[in-house]
Amino acid sequence: MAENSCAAARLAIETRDFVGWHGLPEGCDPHTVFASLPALTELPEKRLGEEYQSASFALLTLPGYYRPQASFRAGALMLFDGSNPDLHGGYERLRADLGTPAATYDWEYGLLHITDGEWVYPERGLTLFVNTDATRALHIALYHPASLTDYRARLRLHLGTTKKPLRRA
Amino acid sequence: MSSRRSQLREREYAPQPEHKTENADAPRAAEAQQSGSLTPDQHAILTMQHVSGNHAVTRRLQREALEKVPTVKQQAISDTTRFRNDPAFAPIADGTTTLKKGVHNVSVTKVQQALKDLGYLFPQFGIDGWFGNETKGAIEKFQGDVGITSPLGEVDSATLDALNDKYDTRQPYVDNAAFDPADPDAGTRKLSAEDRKNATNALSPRQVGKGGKPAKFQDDIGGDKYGDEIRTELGNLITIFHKKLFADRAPLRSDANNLFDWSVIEGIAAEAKKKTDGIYGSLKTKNAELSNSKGTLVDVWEDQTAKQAGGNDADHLVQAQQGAQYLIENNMNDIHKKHSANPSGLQEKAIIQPIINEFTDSKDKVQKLLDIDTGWEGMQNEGTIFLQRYKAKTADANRYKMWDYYFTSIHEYLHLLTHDAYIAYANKLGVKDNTKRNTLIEGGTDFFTWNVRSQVSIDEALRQKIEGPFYDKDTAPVLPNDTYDSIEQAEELVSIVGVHNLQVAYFRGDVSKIGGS
Repeated sequence: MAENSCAAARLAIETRDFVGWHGLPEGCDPHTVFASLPALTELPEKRLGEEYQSASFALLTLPGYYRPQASFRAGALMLFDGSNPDLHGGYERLRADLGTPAATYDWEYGLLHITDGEWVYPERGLTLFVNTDATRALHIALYHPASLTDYRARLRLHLGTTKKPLRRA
Repeated sequence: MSSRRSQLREREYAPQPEHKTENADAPRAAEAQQSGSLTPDQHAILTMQHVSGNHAVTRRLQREALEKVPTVKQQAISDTTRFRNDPAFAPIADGTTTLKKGVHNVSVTKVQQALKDLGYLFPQFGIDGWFGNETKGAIEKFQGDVGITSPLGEVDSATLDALNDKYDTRQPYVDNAAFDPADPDAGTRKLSAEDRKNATNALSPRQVGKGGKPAKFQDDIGGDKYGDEIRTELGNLITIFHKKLFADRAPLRSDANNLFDWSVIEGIAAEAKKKTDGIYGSLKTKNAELSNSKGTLVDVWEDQTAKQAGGNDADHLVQAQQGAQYLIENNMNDIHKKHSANPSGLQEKAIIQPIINEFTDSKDKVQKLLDIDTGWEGMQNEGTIFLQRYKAKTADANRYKMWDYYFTSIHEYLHLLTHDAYIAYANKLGVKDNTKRNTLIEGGTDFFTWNVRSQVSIDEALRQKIEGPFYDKDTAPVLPNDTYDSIEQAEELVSIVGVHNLQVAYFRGDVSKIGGS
């Protein structure tokens, strides 16, 4: 991957400007893409995709997102995602650029179940997670361009939380 | 059949430290006296007598007498449900009949598996659900070992009690926790088609009515309407939870001294990990750590505040409605049982939805339900634990919190060790029936959590580590007993497939051992 593509990806992520985004470049050194990346040893794991495949992840410090994270498989950067993205130029601008999604799915934003709010643009390596009335982006995920099948199997995020039982006593 | 575990738990939840009384049941007993009804304990004992016989009642009374001794001991919900909540065993437990030679059914499988996990051998036919000479011989040997003299070779109430006693300790589960990667199938068994069917069925709670027939929803029980009871209880729960979880805490947020530092919680989590690894370390296939800086420990309050800020009024309304639905589904089991109701059933939903609408028909009402989410004690998702960091007002309550962090960390750490294939299997089942998913994910994790808990010796050294500045050698801590109801189904699954099978599925991903493919 040309270094300038990795630098362009970094700029897009940092400025939260994804108009014209066509996927996370392959082969980037993660440190080229993220300025605040912690050491990549002993990272915790989470599961991605409908096959619940493990990926290690690092919590990032990146303004304009809530809990931004970079995920890795076999040491390679394969996904970036973050909540509440403060999109450059606003949500409608990106939505107009992206057009109709290849597929939409239900998703969970913590405790909030949102019907048909996961808008997948697999060929552009981007998924926008919108709110209940599709007027806001509550989460964004960036990855290498993929087929929809591959996205579903290996990449879908599990963002829902399950409450621990609590009694009234 | 009512759940004895639930009844016990209801009682055990009562003595919360901040509201501790000398006799935690006293207010309820007074209420019952005024209303002329039974206390939950009285009701539980009568039910136990009906279901499990006088031996079980005697044992419980003996145990309760011991619990009154002011020593530090586990007040665990350790009683096994392998046989107690199984209607098929009720006629044996109450002395009406025995299980004997010639029978072929899942009850025989459960007895065989219980004996096998205790070390009794079935070398010729294995665990096959047939009560033949091999099974008779194993039962006789067990009866001889525990001093039961008649009826030899048949499962009667005394034999059931003896099996329950063994599994109440959870020691057989822990004794079978070792795993040898060179012989990964050691102790496991290949399931027959019948086993697979029984194992999958065991993952959903039983809905049994009179005569063993499926229970049918009853809107009106002696003049008590289902909807009226749901409405009243939902109002009560919202009031209580909003005050306790949110209103009392919100003013404390501005002062960091009111919150536990992450290092305190991470230290407790490290102890929980050490204990869990000591038992299940040989089975795990991945390393995991509970750490705020690494992203696996999150403050619920901060997280919900951020997420709610991201949404708009439409999102807030949906979340509030889902919050009300959660309270109805998860905190009103007594009402559902009384009316034989499944809150997801069509008739029930038609009653529940208008009530949810009533409780979310204004911004203030919506905000109250969102506040409850903000103050909710704990949550989890794939690989991350969400918890509250508030310090409590009293040393007693803080000790309780420290132990809650400890036991929660055991549970959540086990979640992190769960094999991907097991989770994928649970989620696949969950598409059609979420109760099956919940049994495998939460019930299965709770099963292993309580096995670890059973091995926790609450001695001075551990107390000092966990309780930190709140340690007081003269004051025994009250221990949390939160658990998922679906542990009952998980334990039933184990009773059919055996503990080794669940272990290799949960930790190593071989889901064929629990009915998957």
